[in-house]
Amino acid sequence: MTVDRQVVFVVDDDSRVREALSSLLASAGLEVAVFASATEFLNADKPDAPACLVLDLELPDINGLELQKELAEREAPPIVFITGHGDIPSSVKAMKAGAVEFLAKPFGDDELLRAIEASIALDRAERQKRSERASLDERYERLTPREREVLTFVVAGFANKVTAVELGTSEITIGVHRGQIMRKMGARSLAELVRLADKLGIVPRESV
Amino acid sequence: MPDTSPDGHDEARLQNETAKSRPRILVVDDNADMRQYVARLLSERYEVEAVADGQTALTAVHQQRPDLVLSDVMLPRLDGFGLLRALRHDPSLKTLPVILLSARAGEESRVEGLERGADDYLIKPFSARELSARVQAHLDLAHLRQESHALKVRHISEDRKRAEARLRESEERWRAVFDNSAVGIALTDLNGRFLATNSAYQRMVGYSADEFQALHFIDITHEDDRDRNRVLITELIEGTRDQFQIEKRYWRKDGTLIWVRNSVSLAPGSENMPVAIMAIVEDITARKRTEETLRRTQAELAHVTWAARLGEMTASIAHEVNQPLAAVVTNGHACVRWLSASPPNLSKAVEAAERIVKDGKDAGEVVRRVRALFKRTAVEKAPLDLGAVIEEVLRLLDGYPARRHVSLDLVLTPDLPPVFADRVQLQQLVMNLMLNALEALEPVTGRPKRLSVRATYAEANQVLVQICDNGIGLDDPVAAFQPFVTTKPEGLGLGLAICRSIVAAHGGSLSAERNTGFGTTFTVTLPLRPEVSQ
Repeated sequence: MTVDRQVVFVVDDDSRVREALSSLLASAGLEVAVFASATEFLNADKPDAPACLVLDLELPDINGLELQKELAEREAPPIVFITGHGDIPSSVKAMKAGAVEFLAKPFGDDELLRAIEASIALDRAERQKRSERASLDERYERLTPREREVLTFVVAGFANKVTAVELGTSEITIGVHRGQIMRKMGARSLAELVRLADKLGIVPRESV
Repeated sequence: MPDTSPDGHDEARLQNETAKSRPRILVVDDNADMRQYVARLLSERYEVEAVADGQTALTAVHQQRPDLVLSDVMLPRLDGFGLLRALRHDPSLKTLPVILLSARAGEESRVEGLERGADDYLIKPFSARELSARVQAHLDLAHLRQESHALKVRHISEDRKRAEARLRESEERWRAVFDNSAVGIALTDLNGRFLATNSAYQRMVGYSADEFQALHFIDITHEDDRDRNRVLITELIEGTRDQFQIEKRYWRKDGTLIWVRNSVSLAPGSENMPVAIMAIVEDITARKRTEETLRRTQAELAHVTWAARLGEMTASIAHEVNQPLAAVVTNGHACVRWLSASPPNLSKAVEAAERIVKDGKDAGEVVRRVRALFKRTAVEKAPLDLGAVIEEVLRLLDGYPARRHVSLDLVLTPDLPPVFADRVQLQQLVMNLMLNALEALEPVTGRPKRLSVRATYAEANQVLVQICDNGIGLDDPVAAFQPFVTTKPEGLGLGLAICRSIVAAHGGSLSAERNTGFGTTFTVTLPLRPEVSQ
């Protein structure tokens, strides 16, 4: 267990199941938040921490699969499905839509906790990725339109001289732009800048 | 009449005519002159025999009955009065006309003679004309009397014969009806002892007519039917009922049981016969057997259909049992973890263990309810709280409507009086109707799915249960009740037919109506009191 905060959300319409899961997860040292319906979960304020959603497939208002679909468009935690029915078509659908695990009630504590741990790890990585991407975006935002244009030549491997000719400016100007780009993007090498540009989905300039 | 042969016929009639036209007169007088005189006078028109004393006269009368006796009063050996007394003493001679002749004058002797039964009295001397007039008059009179008597006798005997013939005919007819009747007929005295039984009855029960003489109808009546039968008989004898019908069981002589339907009444008594109990008895064993088979088949069918119905629901039932089971397992794990922690968290472990107990009980309760629904027991009617029955069904359906996005509205009138019904059957009824409604709501899109169940008090001591949905509705609410009519491709189409038979068995009614908007409303009417029936 890591020291940073992590949360397990439980959505089940059966209070007995909610109570039991609260106790089990608490015994495993996990922070738990329980909800009786999908709506209740959607409307709740949720802490900004790596999390896992333990979701009952059959819910009275919005069923589990629909909620999964809705959550896919947001930055939501990975889902561990629990169900009393456990039919194969639903489980296939759930897994295809990215569920971490699909557990039939009653389930063992180990399999649930393993799935939850995996989910939280996944979420932590996702959150990491998301925050990296967010900072990258933020850095890219700081580039001037001219610098962004120069970037496409840099990552394509053009020499400054060629780029200067192509853009109708001096080689020195291009060199200054290049230095600004490296600084603003926080790239320590050309290779790193290429990798960051690739992450941003920047298309390198084709040969002239 | 000696009608011996066709040839002798005319001759015999002639002789008869002659004899008839010449009446015989017996003249009794000790005076020979007088005797001859009278004989001569009368012999012109009559056959005359003349004797000299009363005793001889009596002998002559006995030998051949004359048509009239003309006798002197003063006679030797037996006088006229003595002769008269002797004649009148003999019933066959009572009507023989007797005319006394006497020289004794005066009213006294005349009255004395008449009082002793003489038909007339002639005082000597009398004229020849007077004599023959009197004689003829009395002969005519006697003839008339005789004819009238004969006529009367003939009439009486003919009437009696006819009556007897009619009686005999009637008796034979009734005897034939009694003996050849296809139904059993038994007569008993007011104590129930057999007086008479017909052969159909004897065949039915297996005892002979003689054996029945020693039996009481209660002896052959099944133990469980005796009290009921006795009460009815008492009411019949006391006159509180004119007749009654009873369906009961007889023990046959061979120890087997048969079902009979008896129509029992009192046969009024007469001078020759005391009041009797009469039973017309029909063997309904075959009918009863058919009814029993039919009833069993229906129950079987109802159960199979119901089981199929619940089979459709197994997912829901499994879910019902599985939820508490899942909670039990999870709580168990939690409990172990709290105990294994260092240091162990005992209070959390106890809480988890307590939840295990509660959830385990919940699961058991679901199983009990499901089992009660599947159970096939004899129908047991008892006062039931209708609201409780409906709530029990809702508990069993639990999240089923919600999971199908159906909002459920339950309206129970508070303090509904209890209905007299079978719990399991009513639960089946309500659940069947609710499942129907849920199915009708299944394909609905574009409007909120609603299902309402309401129990209300209606007039005339009735309770109404209405199950109303806004689903796809029935094409034909009347045809829907027919067996094997179904809107479901895999359905048997028996659900509503069985619902209706359940309601009918409780003396109520079940109807379906299309709602003005969407869907259908099913209305169950149940009587508050059990129907008065045997």
